[in-house]
Amino acid sequence: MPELQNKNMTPPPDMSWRPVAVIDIGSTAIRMTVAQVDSDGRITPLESLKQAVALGRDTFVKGRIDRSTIEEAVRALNSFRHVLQEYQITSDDQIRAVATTAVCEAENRTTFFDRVYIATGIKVSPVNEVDATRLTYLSTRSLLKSHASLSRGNVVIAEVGGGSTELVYMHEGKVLVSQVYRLGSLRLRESLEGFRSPVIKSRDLMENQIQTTVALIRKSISTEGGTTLLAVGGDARLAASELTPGWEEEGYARLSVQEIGRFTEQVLKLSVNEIVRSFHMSFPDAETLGPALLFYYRLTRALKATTIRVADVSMRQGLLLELARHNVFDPDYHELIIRSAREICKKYLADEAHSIHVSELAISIFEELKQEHHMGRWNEVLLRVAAILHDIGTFVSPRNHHKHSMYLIQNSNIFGLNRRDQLIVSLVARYHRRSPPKSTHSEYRAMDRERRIDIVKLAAILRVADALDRSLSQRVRNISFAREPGRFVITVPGVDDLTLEQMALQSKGSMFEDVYGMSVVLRAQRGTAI
Amino acid sequence: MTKSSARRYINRELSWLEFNQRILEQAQDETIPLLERLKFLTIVSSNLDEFFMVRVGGLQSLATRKTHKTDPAGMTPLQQLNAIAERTSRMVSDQYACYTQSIEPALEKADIRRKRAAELSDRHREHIRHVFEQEIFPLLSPIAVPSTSDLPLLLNRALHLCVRLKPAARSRKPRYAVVPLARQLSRLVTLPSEGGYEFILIEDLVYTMLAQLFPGLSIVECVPFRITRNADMSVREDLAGDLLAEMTEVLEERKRSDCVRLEVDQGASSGLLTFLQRSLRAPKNSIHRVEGPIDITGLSHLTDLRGHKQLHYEPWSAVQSPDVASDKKVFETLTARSILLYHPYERFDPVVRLLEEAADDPDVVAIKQILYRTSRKSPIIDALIRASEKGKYVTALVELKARFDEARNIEWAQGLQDAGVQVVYGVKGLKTHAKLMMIVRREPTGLRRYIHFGTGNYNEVTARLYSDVSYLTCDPDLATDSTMFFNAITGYSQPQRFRRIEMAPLTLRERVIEQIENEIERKKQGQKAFVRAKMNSLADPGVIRALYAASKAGVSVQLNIRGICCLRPGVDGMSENITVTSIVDRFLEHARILHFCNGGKDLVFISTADWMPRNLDRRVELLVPVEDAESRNKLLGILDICFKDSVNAWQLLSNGTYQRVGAGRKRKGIRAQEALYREAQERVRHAQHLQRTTFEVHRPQE
Repeated sequence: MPELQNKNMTPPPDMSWRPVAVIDIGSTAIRMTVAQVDSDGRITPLESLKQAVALGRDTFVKGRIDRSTIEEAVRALNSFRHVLQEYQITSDDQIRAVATTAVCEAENRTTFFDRVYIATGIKVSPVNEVDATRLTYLSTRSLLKSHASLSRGNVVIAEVGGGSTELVYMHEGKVLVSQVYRLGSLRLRESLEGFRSPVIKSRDLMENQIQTTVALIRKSISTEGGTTLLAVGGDARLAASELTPGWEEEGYARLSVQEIGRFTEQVLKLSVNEIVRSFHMSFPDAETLGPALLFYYRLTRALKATTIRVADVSMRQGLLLELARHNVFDPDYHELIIRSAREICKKYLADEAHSIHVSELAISIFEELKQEHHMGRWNEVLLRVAAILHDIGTFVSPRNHHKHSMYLIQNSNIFGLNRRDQLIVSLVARYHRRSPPKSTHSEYRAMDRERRIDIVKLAAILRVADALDRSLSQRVRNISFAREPGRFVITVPGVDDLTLEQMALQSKGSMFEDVYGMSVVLRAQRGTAI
Repeated sequence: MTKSSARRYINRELSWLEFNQRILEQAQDETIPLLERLKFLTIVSSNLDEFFMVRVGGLQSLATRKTHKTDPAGMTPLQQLNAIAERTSRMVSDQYACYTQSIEPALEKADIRRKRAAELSDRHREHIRHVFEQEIFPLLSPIAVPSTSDLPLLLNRALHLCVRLKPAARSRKPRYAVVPLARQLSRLVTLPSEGGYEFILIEDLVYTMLAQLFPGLSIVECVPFRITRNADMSVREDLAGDLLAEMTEVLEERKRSDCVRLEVDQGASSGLLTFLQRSLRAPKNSIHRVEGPIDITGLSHLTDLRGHKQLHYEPWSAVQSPDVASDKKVFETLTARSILLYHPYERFDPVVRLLEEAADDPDVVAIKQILYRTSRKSPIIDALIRASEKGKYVTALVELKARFDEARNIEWAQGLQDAGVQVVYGVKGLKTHAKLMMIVRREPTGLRRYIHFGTGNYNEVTARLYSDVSYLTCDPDLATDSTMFFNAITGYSQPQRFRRIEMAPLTLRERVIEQIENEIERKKQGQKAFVRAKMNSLADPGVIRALYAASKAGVSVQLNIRGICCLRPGVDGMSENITVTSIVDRFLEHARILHFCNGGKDLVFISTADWMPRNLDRRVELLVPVEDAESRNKLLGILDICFKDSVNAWQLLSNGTYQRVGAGRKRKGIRAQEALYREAQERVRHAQHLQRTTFEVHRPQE
């Protein structure tokens, strides 16, 4: 990072906390939150900053970001950098900067990322759909946890952003659908301006576009037994502040559908100037307020909810959680990921019992080999997901099904995994049979060295686990392990004849030997047959 | 003037003049020590000077433009000017009556004697001649003024002599000259004396030696005069802020006739007066004929005379608050509890100490500070420079527009920058009036931010004369708000919603009105409801309307407002539940404290903002809740005492004038400033006493 000022401060003493920062480059503003994280992963926000930069207006109208707007973004980020410097936030694991649709959809996004990096030293990564829904969910998670009533029955978490709307649909705490819709408040506003339509007409057009998307959402969500709508995002927060001052104490606000309806009508009647004055907003924010509220209102109506809850959170909370989590064990969250993988497994009619069993065997081997592979909790989750999904390619064809598994995984929406995680999982699944990784495999070659090694380590384990359930009957269970010179001995109780598994191991075990330097030996434990 | 507006609001200029009247009444008060009375009298003058330069100047420009826009009380600029002229002339004649009939004779009794030209002894004359020749003559340059259009630009507020000379031969036209009495000249010249202190005023002295300035000419008349000019509005936005928008357009045209006041000695002949009036293009109602020394502020040197202890207030020394342990770092004290100080009864140094400790503390990472008006040799600036040199990130927001201090501010701002401090000059178009200091420190549990909120400036000198609140805390919510506040005013971020504080010009007024409305609502629901507030000025129509509504709803409103109050209290059906009192005493009341009943859960705030449009719309101001019980109770106690004052408090009557609280009766009872002083002393004694009941043993070091 380029130096601002040369301050020779004494290095921080060894402390049990570290400052971190997340930056979110959105369609109307660039925002940063600075927080400190203690050794238990607890996050205490210290400050948040915001600079209006109208990136979305460029992208949604012209498809690209003007050079002058890029420079505005650079200026905003440079002013944030002063603050980062004060907190001595300098290393990559202390800062995460992401850009959402306004940048990601711009045809010159690479120029944007490069220019920002050159001028500010800040590495910005694009947020794709999977990331966005994951972050939306993560940001609301502690709220959902602390208010049990919020996660009962059907819960829809919605964030109407400038360029897109993220939606997470949960039932009894399980994430069933997570989806991104290409309709956002700013996109709505800009598309109307494109029509150059009179004011009254533009309201109709806006309603039309919203209704189309709302209908699409309606299709994928069940409203049986009532639905709770949890709104996330600046526009919803503003409505909450206007309608129920002091709501932040609670963590969320509850607005009746009538209240939000009336407020929406009130806002839509105001000019942008009037909104700026009445609500002390910046101009870009004021432009999106009306369309966003209308969207929330229509969505509440369509979901037949009587109230809309507004969470006092933003995507940055999600980003912070991820930064803080950094190898912290988080069983609830991992469970959500596994559930999402199982939904996909079901969808492609794979042998679920087999898949689950393989994943359990794989995990027991993973645990046993901790000293050898030195991999953390997160890789364990990835291995589990890969095991659950390794056979979904058979849906397309049993022939080369490992390859079908790979692309199906790459194009599925697995909740909680980012793009890179998903690639790793797809490759681990791919290498569960047949050819080991080769330099001609482009996806594999595209990974960095560290990830490539992780993939091989995980795939080797998956191969052994898969071989152990070659019978597809889950008869190999309660296995125990032992080490002999050059050999990794798996003892299987209750099975006399392990020929099938032995044969499978012969064709699949060599990768294990290559990676871990031990050959796998299967032993039946006699006399304990049940 | 519309009747209903006048019924609802008191004109702000007239209200301000009433404030000056209360100061004048302090000067008239014979129970107050003589030199203190003289000091009040000089304050009346310097206040009027500023008032004429800024307020009258502004109004005059508007009047020349024939603006008929009225103020909230329904008065046009011309109507206001006339009312001001009427009121000030009465005030000035009272002021001079006080001086000539009461103070000067009393000074004489106390052996402080002013000598006039006619009263000089030979010894005096000799001394005067010597002084004149050596020190004064070289600085005088008389200017002949052949016609009224030849008068050169005279220095604003400086004393001049106007000399009428006998007409030249074969002419009947009198000749005039002007002698500027240069600023470097001391107004009082000490005379050799047999006993006591004797002095002569410079104008009297020069008068006796006048012949030397006009050799060979015959002097008919010589009178002192002084003009006051319209101030440069572009910089003085703080004072005439509410006029600024209209002002900027007329700046140019105003330059031609910018004399807003012409003070001339009572004895001037009508011919000389006409000459001056024409030469200076002084409007008719701007002429003040003064019976006594022009510009009494020049006499303030007398109040510095040594050896007249009995003519001064008994000294009240500030105490060291017992809440701040002297043997611990202020950081440590603050980690355990928040601290509220009330100056000048309690000393300001804990605030300075906190900053100095921060500068030297290896774990302090950053310091942010707003500097508005600070003292010449400021330990605060020294500490900021030292901190920066020690590698800390120091940000200073320097408000350059602080009244009459621009030059000094620019000078030390440069010094800070040279030391590596990041200096910001505030938000464009807004004057930063908030007082805030923040220190970021690394501690084992995380970053902790220490904050100081003040109602007064970071100035150890004025902190001895102004009553102000300091609130020191490390409350995390207030810390986050302060951080975001700094980010907003330094341009790192756009302003965002705060957790606890409110900021002008964004939401401060709304919040105040919201709290007043909250009281109204509670009253309607049968709960107890009241508003108590202490500030310097109340002029904002929006807030006043809310207070009237509160009164109508039966909410009791008690206001303690030192200066301007445009709210008209005690009017049936509008404001019968509102009382307004004002304290004018030895210290300048300066703190802003708000108290809302809030259904019994007292809400107490301190603030930098007066309730005036200029503060709420054109300045960066702060409203800070004080929530920890100890500090809150201390503030409530201060308010209680202020509302009980029956010695130096005035009550605003519905006709817009003020009456001493308990007028007519013998003035006995509580004098708020004295009570606060005694209480602060008592608290220290009590704390010392407590310490004495437990023994702390000196142990050898381990």
